[in-house]
Amino acid sequence: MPVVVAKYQPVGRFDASTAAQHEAELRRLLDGEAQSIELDFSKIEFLSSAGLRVLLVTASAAEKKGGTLQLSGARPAIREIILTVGFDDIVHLRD
Amino acid sequence: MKPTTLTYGVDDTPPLLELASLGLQQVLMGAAGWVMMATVLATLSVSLLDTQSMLRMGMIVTGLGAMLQANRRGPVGSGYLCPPIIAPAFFSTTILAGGGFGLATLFGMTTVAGAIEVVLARLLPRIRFLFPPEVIGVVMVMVGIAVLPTGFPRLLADPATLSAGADQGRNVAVGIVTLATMTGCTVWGRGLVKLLPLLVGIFTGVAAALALGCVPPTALPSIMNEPWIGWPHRAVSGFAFEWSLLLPFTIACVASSLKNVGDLTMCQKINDSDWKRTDMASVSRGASVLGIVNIASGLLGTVSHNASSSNIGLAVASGATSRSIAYSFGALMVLCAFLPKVAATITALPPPITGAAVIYCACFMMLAGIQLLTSRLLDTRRILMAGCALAFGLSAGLMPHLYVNAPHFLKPILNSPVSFSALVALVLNYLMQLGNTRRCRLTLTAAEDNYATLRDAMLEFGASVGARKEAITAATESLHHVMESLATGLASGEITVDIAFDEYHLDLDVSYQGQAIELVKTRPDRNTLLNDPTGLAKLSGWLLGQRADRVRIKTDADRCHVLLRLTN
Repeated sequence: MPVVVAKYQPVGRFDASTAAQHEAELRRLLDGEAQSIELDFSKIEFLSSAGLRVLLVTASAAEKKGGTLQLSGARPAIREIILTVGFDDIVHLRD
Repeated sequence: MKPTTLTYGVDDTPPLLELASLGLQQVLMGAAGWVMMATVLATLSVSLLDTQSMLRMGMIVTGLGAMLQANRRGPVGSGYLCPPIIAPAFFSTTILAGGGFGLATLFGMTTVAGAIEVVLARLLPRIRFLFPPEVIGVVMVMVGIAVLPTGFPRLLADPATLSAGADQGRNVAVGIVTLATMTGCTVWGRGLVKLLPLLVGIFTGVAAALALGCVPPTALPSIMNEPWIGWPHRAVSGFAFEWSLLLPFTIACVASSLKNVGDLTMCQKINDSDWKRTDMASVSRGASVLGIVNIASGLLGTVSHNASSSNIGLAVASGATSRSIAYSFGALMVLCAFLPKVAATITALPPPITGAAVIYCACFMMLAGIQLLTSRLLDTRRILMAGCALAFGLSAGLMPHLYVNAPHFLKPILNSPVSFSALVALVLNYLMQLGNTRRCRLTLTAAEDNYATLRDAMLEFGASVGARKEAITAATESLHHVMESLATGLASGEITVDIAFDEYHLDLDVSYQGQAIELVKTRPDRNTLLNDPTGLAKLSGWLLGQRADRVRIKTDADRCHVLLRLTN
């Protein structure tokens, strides 16, 4: 069966002030038909520890449904943070 | 780190055949300086014999100077491929001294000028603060622009540059073919062709000139009449000194030194992809060589020299900046001094070909300066400083008649758009920094969302001090991580952020009342992050250390401090 993919493009910050909002939206998508999420990070200027936690929670939820969390368009500094914290095996970075 | 655009970096040694070819290419580029020298000397009605003598002595000085410049050890030498060339900053003083008092006085004052430049070179590290990247960027842009009036009339076959009866259209075609070949070799060439775009372009240009009948009729006889081997001799004997020329020559020395700073900085930048700022100690050693070159110029009987921007541009364009090339260049240059036919051949090259070479190299020089200017955040002060410097420099180049009635002692500056721009940049930079502090304090509230306030304040501060964009971005992100940690309940009330900048470092002191942030050395694992209530705080503490070069936590009697240091 083909994997159902939902796309989400957050804007601005992915930190403590916006984490709850983004987590809720991503949970809503995964609670629906979507098994995988494609996150477009091209409009994200800052990723904090709270944002990383949201990514981890979402990636874990997608894996439980047999899907993945893909992240594209991230700035070099944000890609570096994801690689440095070792989340690149669960949050799949795309160019 | 060696940039990926270079085939042979400064520490590499090309194979012998390529070394010789690259050295020969640099010699041909240096020929543009000989053409300029001959043009200046023609205004002094110097005889052909004396002109040839001064040219050949100039070859010796240039060759030995390039080799000394490549020296890495000892008190002189920058270690880079940075050959000398006749100095435009000294054109007016050359005409003043040679035309008003004779060649002996010209040579005497050139020697004195060289000594002044050596003194100035040793002072450079102490006056480093006068040469921030924005000032040097302006100089580098103008260095590229300043060669355009030499290049374009030749490239586009201005009738004044051609022999009587020459066909302008065909000569333009020769120039365009030459420039197109050089460009094509650089963009699409492989192997030797990519390394030697100038040489390939010149040979192609000569072939085109022969095919189109654009070789001046005097070219071949002027070469044939010269012997194969000849001992170069000084144009006139003796020295003379003229007190009234001391101030103009000193101003020319300052102007020339500023250009040298720009060119030597360019050498550093093109050889290191991690380059952040000028190494003034290296510039000082390199500028000392150029002072010594001018002492030798006076002693041997030729005109003043400074760093050759076009040769540096050629090294960039050909992807070969190896200091070994300086030795092959130097040896070939000194050899040329003993081969009169070589000098005659170089000066016999059709003007469209030498013009194409100059324009080709100018492209790289101008853009290097623009890249440097835009590598730093610019606030209004810096924009106006750079803008005014460029505008005034260009005005001297485009409308020289406006400065005809300027005092004599200013003529050396005003005759050189590079020098004029540099002087305006230096003065404005100094004046506009008055009252500009390199410290800043922000007062924030723990309970509020301070993201935009911090981001905008850091950008404004960074622009006011000319910090690197990357350093300000990293500092801003570090501060955001700190604020996010404090927002978990560690801080209450007022938070102050003290920022200090000293060109090398950005220091941040976040001070607040509350509990200290736990700096975690080990990255929290996923289980901790998902299930431990303190997981988020631990990850924040760990992330703090990733962007900043140094993080320290300090507690006073009643306040906690997070001290961050980042390299600019």
